[in-house]
Amino acid sequence: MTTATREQERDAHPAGVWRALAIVAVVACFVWIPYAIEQVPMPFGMDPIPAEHFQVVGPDDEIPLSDLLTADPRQGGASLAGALRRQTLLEEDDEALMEAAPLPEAVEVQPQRSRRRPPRRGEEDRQQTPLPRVDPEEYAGLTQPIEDPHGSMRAFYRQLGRVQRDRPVLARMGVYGTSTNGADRMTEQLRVLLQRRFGDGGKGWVPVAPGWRYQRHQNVSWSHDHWRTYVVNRSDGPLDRYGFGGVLAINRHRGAFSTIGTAEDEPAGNRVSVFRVFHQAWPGGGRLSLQVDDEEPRIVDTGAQTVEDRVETVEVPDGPHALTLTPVAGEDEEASENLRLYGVVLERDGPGVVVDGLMLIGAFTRVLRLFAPEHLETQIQQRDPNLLVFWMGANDAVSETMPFIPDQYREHYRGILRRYQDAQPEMSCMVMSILDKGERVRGRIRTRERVPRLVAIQREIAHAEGCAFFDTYEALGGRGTMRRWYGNSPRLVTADLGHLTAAGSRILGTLLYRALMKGYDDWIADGEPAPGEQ
Amino acid sequence: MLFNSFDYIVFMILVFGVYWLLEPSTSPLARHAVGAEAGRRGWLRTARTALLLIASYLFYMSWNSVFILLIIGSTLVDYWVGLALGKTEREGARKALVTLSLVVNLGLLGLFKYADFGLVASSQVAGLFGVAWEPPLLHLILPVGISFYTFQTLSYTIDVYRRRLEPHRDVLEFATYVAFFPQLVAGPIVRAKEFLWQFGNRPTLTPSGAQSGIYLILRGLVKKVAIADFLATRLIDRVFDNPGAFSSAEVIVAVYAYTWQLYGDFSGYTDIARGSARLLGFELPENFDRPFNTTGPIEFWRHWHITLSRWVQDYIYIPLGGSQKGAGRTYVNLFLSFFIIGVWHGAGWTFVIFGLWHATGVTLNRLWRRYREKRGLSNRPPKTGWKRALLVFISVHFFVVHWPIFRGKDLGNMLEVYDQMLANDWVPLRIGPWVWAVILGMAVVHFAPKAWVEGAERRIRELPWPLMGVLVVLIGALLMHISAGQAAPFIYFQF
Repeated sequence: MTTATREQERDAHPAGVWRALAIVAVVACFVWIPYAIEQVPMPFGMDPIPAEHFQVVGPDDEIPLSDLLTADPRQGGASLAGALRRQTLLEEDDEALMEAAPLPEAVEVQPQRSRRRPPRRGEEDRQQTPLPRVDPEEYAGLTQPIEDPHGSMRAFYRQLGRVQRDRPVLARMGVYGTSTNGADRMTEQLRVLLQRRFGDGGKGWVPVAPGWRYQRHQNVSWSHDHWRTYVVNRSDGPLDRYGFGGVLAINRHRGAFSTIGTAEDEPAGNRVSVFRVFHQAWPGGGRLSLQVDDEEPRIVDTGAQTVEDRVETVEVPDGPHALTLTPVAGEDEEASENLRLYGVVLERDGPGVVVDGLMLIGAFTRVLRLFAPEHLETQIQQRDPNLLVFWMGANDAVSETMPFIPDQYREHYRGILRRYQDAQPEMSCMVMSILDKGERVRGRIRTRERVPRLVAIQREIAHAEGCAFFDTYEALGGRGTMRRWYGNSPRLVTADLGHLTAAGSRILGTLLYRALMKGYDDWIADGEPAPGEQ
Repeated sequence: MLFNSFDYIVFMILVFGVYWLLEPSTSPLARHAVGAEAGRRGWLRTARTALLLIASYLFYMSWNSVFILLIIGSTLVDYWVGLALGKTEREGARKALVTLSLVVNLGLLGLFKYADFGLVASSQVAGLFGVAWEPPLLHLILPVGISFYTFQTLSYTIDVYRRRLEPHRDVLEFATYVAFFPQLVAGPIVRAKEFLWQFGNRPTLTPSGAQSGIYLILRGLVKKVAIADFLATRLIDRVFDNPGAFSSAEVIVAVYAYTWQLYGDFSGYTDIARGSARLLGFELPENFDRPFNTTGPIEFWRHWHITLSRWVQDYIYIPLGGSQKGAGRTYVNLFLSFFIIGVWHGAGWTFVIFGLWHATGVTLNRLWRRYREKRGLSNRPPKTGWKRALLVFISVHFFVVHWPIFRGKDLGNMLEVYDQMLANDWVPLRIGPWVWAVILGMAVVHFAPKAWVEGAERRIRELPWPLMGVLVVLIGALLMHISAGQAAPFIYFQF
């Protein structure tokens, strides 16, 4: 190469490269500054900002491009070994999705029960035969078992056993949750899977009107208008009586109505044989009309000398039906604010399983203390659940306005669990931990620091109070779940990095179902005779 | 590795540095290596290409290593088909070769993208005739970018078959063309004849080219992070995830906002791709040209995803006969072409409807033009004035109305969004001031006279380099603050 050619080459193109590098150098200088100083001074007497806030990569962050080298399948990685392992995980996730996400079409449920005729009264004990073990396939893919050192779940498993033995009973399960179950999606999945296995016990609890704009119920047809609702979170309702579901509906005027009926073309909730209307009788109580389909309405007087909780039962032939609740008013009557209704339960004759989705949207754990104690006790006894699940804490984990004081949290939560268990001592109790909560820091989604701490506290509280514990956080993948699930297609968590999408909820419902089946199988394997079944 | 991540910035700087280190005009090291022997220059060119290929494969493998085998397989098949086409003049053999390429590429695309949808659709159709059939689904994961690189490689074999392009003999360069990381996973769809020749030139990067490359990357990041992701996380995703929880007013605003999310997301990606390629001395075609500032669907498709619409026009619409075989056939060809555009975006009924929606729009637009022609009026859209404003307004709403089809997760979600839009439920309207600012600001920029916008952009591109550096820092900090660091995936990755 001649000198002239070399010079020509040198001058032809390099300037752009140096220009780009110069700009990169300017940027690099600015990127370096936050590492060289501790805080950035601010003008006008404002507090200086810690320089850490401006660091592109913080001490806890992954080194850029590190995922190209890692073989950790949870982090992803370009090494072939890592990728193959990640592929396996993805496939598992995908299978879980495929299995969990598409709900089955509405079908007449054929539960897996023995074909023996149901025992007559008195025969029950003599017919006692060992329950068949659960096929391990039913809980394959289990990510986290239920921790139950005190055997709290036995009561529920025992009831499931009765259901499986074709006894005409229902196994009732209620799940108190926050907005993470605000659309009844996780409980819907659980309902569908449990009912498919054990029998359709009906949709369960539905409030007369939603307490929050975001509140949704699946597996039910539900229309309503002209109700004023009071929710336990705000503690602004009369006498702190909000019913089992935490939502009290009061008619604004005589035009109020709520029609609650079976669902069409949904995988559950297609039939009902009994409506139970949970309401308050009180001195100012008015008359309530209960009309099934187009039949003659039944009129119920909700007036009483003293305040008491009542349940009105409306039996119907098993099948699709709707119940309409309206105030009854004479020509000159206003009929406003004279009904106090808690909710309606849709059930079928057993055997079967019922799952109540009890969502308290935006609630901190401590709001469960806000029910009037005697009222709560009555409501639990009237609803008679075999298992209550507490999936609280999501708002405690993220609130920046309400300080999180661990000791206070322990005290509140333990008091709540005690109160519920005292109301129904033979009931099973389970605490579900919060799921991951993400935040966006320096280019990445991270698990909020409070989350693992809160999960540990919830486990400690559950064990201390003799409740079972389900580690939702670890079941879904632990630290970094929000980052992975947000990047998944379909997206499994919402953009606020705190809630599950419908697909994510179904995965969680499936995982919880598997954990229940594993626990149930262990209970069967233990061969422990249930009290009263000896 | 997403473009809007710190990882990509570091990756790009590394590739940029090593790439230009291997170019004698910029690197004393490379000049020393070349020495006096001209033969070594070819070796450096090979090294540069190899670097780009390795970088591209690593970039792709950051999503999924296994699927790189698909790209390699597709590359080798098309490379061999190209060479074989160059060696034979027999029409039968040539047809067989191009058919092989079509079968392999479309077969892989069909298997990974459409197999399950086809099975489910068949089962649904069978159900209509009372035949209950539970199809055995494959549940395959869709390889990222397969729709883009499949169309790219097909353009090569078809062009060689049509004798519009010479077979490319350098396998490294051909493989780099297929897998070139800036456009590998979400386009633009670069045709072989637009790209391969660039390997023959010495790589060039002028100071203005460098600044415009950096500016394009910056603009793309702003579109992606400050517009698309901002609107998505603050409004759109929440609404589409649970439409029933929002008022009609909120859902309608979210649907309007989706216009800017989609545009910001996809055109932002293209900007970053073009900027990155330019910094490495390559030019990629423009993919967007103010697409919503158009007077109807026909004009829209000349300004939106330009490389896809040109591809479909050249390789599907025209071979089907285009508009040369009578009016009826023209409309059939249009519907077929838009059906393919629709399902190219995804395997689902919503995308079928999306394609048919646009086919209907283009057909009506075309009929209107014919009607004006018959009446002796100009069929060209007005360039200025209230008539143009009216047409743009109608055109924008033609797209806004169909966003739930495109964005809906499935038919159910789509119907839920429409249902809530029409629920006549106007309060509350809980939309933050910054969301309004982004929606309206984007509208102002998009509909402002082109010369104004280009003038402003030119002034930014021509800033002195220290100021350009400061601008990058300021915007980078702003984007980190806005996004609070989240690098959301690009919408078009799923296609």
